[in-house]
Amino acid sequence: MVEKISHLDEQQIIESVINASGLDAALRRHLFECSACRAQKLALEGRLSRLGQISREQTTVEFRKPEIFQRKAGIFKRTWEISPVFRIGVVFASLLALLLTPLTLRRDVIYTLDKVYQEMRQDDEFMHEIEKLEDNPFPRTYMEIAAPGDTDTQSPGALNDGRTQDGGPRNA
Amino acid sequence: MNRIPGGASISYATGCVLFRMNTREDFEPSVSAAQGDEVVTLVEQAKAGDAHAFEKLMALHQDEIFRLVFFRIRSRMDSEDITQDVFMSAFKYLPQLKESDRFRPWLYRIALNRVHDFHRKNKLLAFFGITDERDQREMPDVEPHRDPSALDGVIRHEFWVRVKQLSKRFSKMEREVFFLRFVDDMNLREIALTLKRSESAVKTHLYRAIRKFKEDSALSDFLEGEWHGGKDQPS
Repeated sequence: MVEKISHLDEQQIIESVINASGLDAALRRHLFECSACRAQKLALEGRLSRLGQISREQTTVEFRKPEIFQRKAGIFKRTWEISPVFRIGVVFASLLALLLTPLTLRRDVIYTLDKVYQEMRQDDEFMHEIEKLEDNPFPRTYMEIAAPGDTDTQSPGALNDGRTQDGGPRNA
Repeated sequence: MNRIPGGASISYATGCVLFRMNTREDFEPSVSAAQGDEVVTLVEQAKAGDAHAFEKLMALHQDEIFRLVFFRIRSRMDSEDITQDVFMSAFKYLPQLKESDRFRPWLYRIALNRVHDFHRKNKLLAFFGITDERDQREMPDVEPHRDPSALDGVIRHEFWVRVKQLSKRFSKMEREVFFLRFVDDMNLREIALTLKRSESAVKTHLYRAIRKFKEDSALSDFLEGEWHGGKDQPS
C-alpha cells in the first residue's frame, strides 16, 4: 500500500533545509519524488547560500596577520630562556643592593660627622694658637733680646709701661 | 544506510534510495576528517608548548576568524586588532581546553566574546558622548586598491543595508545562529558548542531565523536578481 502524502508545508521545507535527515522517511521520499517541493527547498537553500557567499566575498580583504610569537619573543620568551640560577642570582643581588643602600647612606653620615668633629677640633687648636699669639706675639728669644731677665716684657702692654725699648726710663 | 556517490544513500529500513538535498552533511564537521585530525594533533602539540604547532593553527584559522569579526564590526583596523587579541587569548588559555577536537568552536567563542565586548564598549562610549554610535559602519571598509565602480558601490551599500535590516528582525540568539550557519559556514554541532547551547535549541533558533529571512522578500529579491558584484560581475 502506497502512503499518500500531501506537499511539504513551509515548516517542513525549512526543517529540511536545517536538517534533511531529521525529516520523516515518508516526507523525505516525497521530497525526492515531488519536483515542486524540491524546487521550493532548493530555492530557499540557494538564497541562503547566496547570502553567505556574498557576505564572505565582501569581507575577504587583505589584513594584518596576527603575530603573537614576535611579541612573545621580544617581551617574554627571552626572559623565560634565562636560566633559573641566573634569575635567582639577580633577585638576590637586587635584594642585597636594596638592603645595603641605607647602611651605606648611614656610614656616609657617620663619616661626615667625624669629619665635622675633626674640623671642629682643628678649629679649636687653631683658635688656641691665635690666643697664645695674642698673649705673646714674639718668640721667647726675641723677648730676651729686648729685655733680658724681664719677665714683664712678655706681656703685650710692656711697651707702654713708661720705659723705652732699651730698658731706660722714657722721660730720662 | 550505505552511501553511494552523488549524494544518494540507500536506506535498508525503507528499502528505497534517498537523495540528500543539502550540499554537505548537516552534522559532519565543516572541516574534512583529515584536516580535523591534523587540527587535533596540532592542538595537542601546542598545548605541550610547541610554538610552531600554534603558528600552524593560527595560519589555518586566521582568515575565518578575521572574516567573522569583520562581518560583525565592519571596521578593518578594529577587526585586525580583535583578531590579534583572539589569538593571544587562545594561546594563553589553550592549556585549559580539555577536548582538543573542540578547538574551532572554542576559538569562535573567544572571537564572538571579543566582538560583544567591542560593541559593549562602543555603546558605553556613545552613552558618554565620547563617540557617536552612528559611526558604526553599514558596510565593511573596501580595500583601497579595489576601487569599486559607482554602481558596484551602490549595490554593495544596498546589500549591507538589507543585511542590517534583516539582522534587526532577529533576536540576539537567532542572529548568532543564522550568521554562524550561513556566513561562517559552521554545522549545527559546532554552533551548539560555540554558543554553549543544545543542538535542539540551535535548530529552534535557526528555524525562526530562516522563517524571518524567508519573509524578507526585499532581501530575497535582491539576492535572486540584483546582485552582480564581486567575482560574478561580468567583465
